[in-house]
Amino acid sequence: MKQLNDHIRAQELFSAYIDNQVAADEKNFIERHLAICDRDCRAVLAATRSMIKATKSLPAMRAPKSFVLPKSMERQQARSIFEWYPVMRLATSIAIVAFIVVFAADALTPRTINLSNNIPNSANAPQLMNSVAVPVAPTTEANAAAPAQAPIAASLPQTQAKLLPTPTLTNNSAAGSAMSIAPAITETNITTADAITASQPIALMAATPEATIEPAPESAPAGGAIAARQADQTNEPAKPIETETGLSPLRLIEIILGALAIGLIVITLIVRQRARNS
Amino acid sequence: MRLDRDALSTMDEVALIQSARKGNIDSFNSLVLVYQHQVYNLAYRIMGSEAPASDATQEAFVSAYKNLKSFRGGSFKSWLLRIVTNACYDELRRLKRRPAVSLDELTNNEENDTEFDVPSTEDGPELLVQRRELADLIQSGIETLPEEQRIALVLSDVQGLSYEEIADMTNANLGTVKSRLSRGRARLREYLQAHGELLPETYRLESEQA
Repeated sequence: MKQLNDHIRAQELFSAYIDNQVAADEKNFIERHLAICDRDCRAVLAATRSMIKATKSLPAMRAPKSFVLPKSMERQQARSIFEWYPVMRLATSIAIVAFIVVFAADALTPRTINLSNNIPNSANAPQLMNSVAVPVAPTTEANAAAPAQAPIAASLPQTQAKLLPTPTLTNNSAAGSAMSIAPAITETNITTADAITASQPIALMAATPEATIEPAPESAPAGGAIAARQADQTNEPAKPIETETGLSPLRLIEIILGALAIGLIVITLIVRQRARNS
Repeated sequence: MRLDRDALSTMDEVALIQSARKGNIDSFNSLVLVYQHQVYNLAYRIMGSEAPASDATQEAFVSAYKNLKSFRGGSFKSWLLRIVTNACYDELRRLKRRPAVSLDELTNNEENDTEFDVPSTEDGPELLVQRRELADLIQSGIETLPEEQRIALVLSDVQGLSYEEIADMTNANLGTVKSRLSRGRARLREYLQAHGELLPETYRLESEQA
């Protein structure tokens, strides 16, 4: 029964039709049907419009009491995770800076020079014998070698001893005396070189008080024990120098700071994410 | 200074919301004072009586304060209305599940703070309708609707929201909103006509005379 279906279908569309929410074909259908409808579709449409109008005119209710929240409900914002983010950011920055500083200090520290000192040391002695000039190694080594030379010469049980000025234990004067000693040394034979190397530990001991420079303890390959003693008197840890791949305390600090910085970065990112999501 | 909707500019509102997000409850309460009437009105039209409407309103504001961080801008009023709509919906579902209270008891509530009685069907059709009586009847009729149709009708015809806004607020698609609104209005019309209002004769007469 097409006609009954039309009535039903039209009435179903009245709500959207009133709100202008029907498609063009639906609108055409409704208006065509209303024109020829012999039942109460027009009445239903009118009643629906009237009802909507009345509903829109319902009096607005006012709140019967105040719905403000009590002060006790106020959140403690300081403890919120949102406030942690600036703190974490600062801590991370400090950790990163500390790591960079320590790393830079480690990288710039001229410890690598010591390694080169180790090898040619035994060769230096003959070199010294052949030339008046100080060895090719940096001046620091010269300063270390120079005072070493002076007492060494002093220990030589030869007439050279009288040529030696008293080791004044200053680098400059020692260098000067070393210069004068050098010719004397050159006069001796190779055996002196052995004596030199053998007596170097003793020389180093004598040179220690003023030789606060780093290379001093490191120029003795056999001076492991001496190096340890030097470590007590100098600021630099001498022992690990002998092992090139060892874990120095400084390295350890670097690793710890680096791990700390990375850890803090991760935590800070998590806190920031939580703060944004909350 | 009495705060109402007109007195609060958009900039003031944004500032209040920012302050409230940091936990300042006084700022939030300023917003409460502005919007509590609209929120209560919506809750009342959905729930039908003062007590459940007040509960839903209070619950909505508490929830809004606690979840301010999830407000991402846009209309703060719409955000509030959505919260109270959800609160009402949850309460309606909850009441439906409770075996002790039947839906009939709810709709024939005595708590209506109105002066006039609902006209009974025995009175017969009346041509002239007191506005107040019709308003009460409409409210009673709304309460006979299932919760989805009820909410769609109230949001549309009481609150004045568009289909799109209703769809957004109720997490439904446009077709569903259209369908719920259509059925809700049809059912309300039949209720009113059964209680002596909006009689077809009235309109048939008018349309024939036109």
